[in-house]
Amino acid sequence: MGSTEDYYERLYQELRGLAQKRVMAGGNLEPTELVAEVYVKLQGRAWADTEHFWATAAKAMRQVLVDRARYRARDKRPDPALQVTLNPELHGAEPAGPNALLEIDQALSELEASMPRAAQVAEMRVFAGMTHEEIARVLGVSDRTVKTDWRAARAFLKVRLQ
Amino acid sequence: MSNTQALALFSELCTQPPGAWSARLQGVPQAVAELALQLLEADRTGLTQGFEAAVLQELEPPERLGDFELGQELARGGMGQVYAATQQSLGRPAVVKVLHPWLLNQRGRGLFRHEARVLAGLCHPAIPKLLASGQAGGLVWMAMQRVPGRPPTRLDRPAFLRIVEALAYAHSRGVLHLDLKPGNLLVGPEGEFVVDFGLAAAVGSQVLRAGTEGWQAPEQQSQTPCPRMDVHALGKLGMALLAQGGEDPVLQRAAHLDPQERYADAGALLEALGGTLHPLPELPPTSAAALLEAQITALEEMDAVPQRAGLAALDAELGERLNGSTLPEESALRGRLMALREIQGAARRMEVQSRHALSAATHAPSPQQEALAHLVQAEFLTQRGDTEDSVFHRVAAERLAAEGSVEAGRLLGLEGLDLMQHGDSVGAASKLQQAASLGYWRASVLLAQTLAFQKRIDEALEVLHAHLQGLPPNQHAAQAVGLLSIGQTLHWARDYPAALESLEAGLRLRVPGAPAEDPQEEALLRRWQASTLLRLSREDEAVEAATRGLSLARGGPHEASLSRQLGAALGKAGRWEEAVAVIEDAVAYRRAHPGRPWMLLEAVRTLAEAHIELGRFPEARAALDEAWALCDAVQAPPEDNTRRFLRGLEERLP
Repeated sequence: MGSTEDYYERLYQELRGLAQKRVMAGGNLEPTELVAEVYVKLQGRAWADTEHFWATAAKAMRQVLVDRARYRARDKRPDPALQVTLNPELHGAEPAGPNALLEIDQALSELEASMPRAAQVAEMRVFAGMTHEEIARVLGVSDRTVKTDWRAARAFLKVRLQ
Repeated sequence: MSNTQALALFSELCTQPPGAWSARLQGVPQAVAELALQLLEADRTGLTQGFEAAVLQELEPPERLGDFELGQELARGGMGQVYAATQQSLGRPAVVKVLHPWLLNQRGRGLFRHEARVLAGLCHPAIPKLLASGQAGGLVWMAMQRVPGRPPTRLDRPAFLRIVEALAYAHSRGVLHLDLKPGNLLVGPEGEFVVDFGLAAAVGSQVLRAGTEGWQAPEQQSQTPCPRMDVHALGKLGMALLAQGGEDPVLQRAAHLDPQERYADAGALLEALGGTLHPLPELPPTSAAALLEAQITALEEMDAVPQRAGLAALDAELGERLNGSTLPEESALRGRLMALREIQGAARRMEVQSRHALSAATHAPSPQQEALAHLVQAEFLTQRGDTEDSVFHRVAAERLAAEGSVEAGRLLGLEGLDLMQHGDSVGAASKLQQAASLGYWRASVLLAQTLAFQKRIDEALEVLHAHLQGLPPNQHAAQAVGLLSIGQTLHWARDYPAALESLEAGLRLRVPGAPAEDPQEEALLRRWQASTLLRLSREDEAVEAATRGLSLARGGPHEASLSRQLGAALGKAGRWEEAVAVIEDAVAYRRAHPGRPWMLLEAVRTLAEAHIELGRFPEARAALDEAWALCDAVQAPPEDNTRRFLRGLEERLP
């Protein structure tokens, strides 16, 4: 058991590392800022274990990024300030703009309805940049299962994003 | 629904050969079959289209990069192109590697620079030297010593051992290769060379996928780079290039599919093969500077650098090299390094909110940002009562802050705070006035507090109202702080209803959940709200306010202050048992951070009162003794409120 504050303090560097993977510096959303916003979302809650904390942090990261993208997308111009690099497997090395983020979010929500665990895997990979091994630990399943789930999620996202 | 079925079908078909698909799709609803096929198609083409297109795109490099004139193209690969080149100034042969710009996002560029610096510090006969690197027109390039030779098709054992030794040397410095293959080995009249060092690590995982399968470790596509990946490739190379290499159990273990079964790094492999790592060649003195630079970059990019483990090795080496170094450039660098180290070290000790600022500054340092980071830290430590620790950060900030800047104002603000702590409110007011004139808005608030402390209530309120009026409408945090101070001032002036009104106005400004808001400000507002509510005999509300405040203040500099306030509120509400527990927290906290003895005194006297209420007289006696000692330590005047309060408590003891 522990509070968000305990975990946050203990895992700050790792959290920030994750955020760094998600966000390219040079925009107005710095990794530090992302971590801070994730913190605000998680504040005041208690966690059964580290895994539980990580899984929720991934979700919070997605929320923050998507909220930002939604906000940016309101004025239709592409915003060079929001340079969010998603998993390179999904988007080459190109930073994804707000619309791509929103599309991914939407596709993920659709996937959630059909294959919730695969959606969770994709969420952790895409939004929290976690490795298969980390995800397997968090979800308490084998690496193999994570790989299978990711394969399905990746194919699904690709079909939906085409 | 069809999504679910199609996804299930997809997962099933993935495990079967394509020949079996059509039979399985018989009788499946059309929509489901169609989506399943789309998924299979997406899976088959992978996600590399855009990437491959980018890699195959023609790249027209300039004729000249830096000091190097480019000649014939020697090779072209997933990472970029390699050209024969001549270093103009020295007329020596070189090769220039130009990296595809799309492989390098901003972070990649940072890593590339880091890698180039680390490579510049490598000095091994089997590793071509890095001559220069740079960026031009979106291209990133590296120039290396040109060595004669061809990729080997066979190797004898001593030659292979020299290659493993080169890797062992690199690993000992935290440098990974990650793309070992026959094509990256050169054998010629001058011996064996391992080329393309560190490029793969520099550009990161995207490129590894474009690398050479068959030599790469299987986990390389999904895991953080580590030496075991190079060990795998070395094992494979040995098995392929050495006579009877395939039967060598050591090489088999090196090439094991499970990374944990392999040797930990090339050094361990070398040992198992019966080789030894020769003593490291001495680096010329300037290389220590290069190493330092590398170290600084690595620290700056601490979170991003996968070679974190290598930092430890660099550290140890630096320590040795820098002993007795007198080069001025090195001492300048060393100063910066120490400052960064200190920030990193502090970051580990620090609580959440100031960590943000420091971390940001450490990762994008400019003198101003570094100064700011130190200031935040100094303020935090001062507020918490760790005065000595805060001095370091002040000195650092002083060094970095430009004259007449807001940061300089903030420093003056801190000095003012110090003077106030030592009871010199006149000196404090003067410092704070200067600070405010440099544009540091918090100084006006502190100035008002100083004035209020001198019972110059009207002047204090005047300063605060002027502060509020000068703020732009969206400056909620600054407004809240202003309203907080007005509330505090009115509280000191015993106008409790007006104080409460101001504090609650401050609280209303805070949009719940807004990330930019600082929970510490709200914690303080709650603390004074609770205190004022107590004066108005609204105990239950006070308990509520203090509870909320304490939950916000956890880990921050005001935690003890809120604990004490909650304790007082609980006591006034007749809940003394609970009160003792929270006040004890406050006392413990203040003892751990001894820089604010007045606050410790407040906490201890509240504890004494609680014990008396509960009839625990021995505990009360001990607390009172401590309180008296503290009164003397802070030189409280004889007719001070606290002393009077303590005398009142003494009378209630049997």
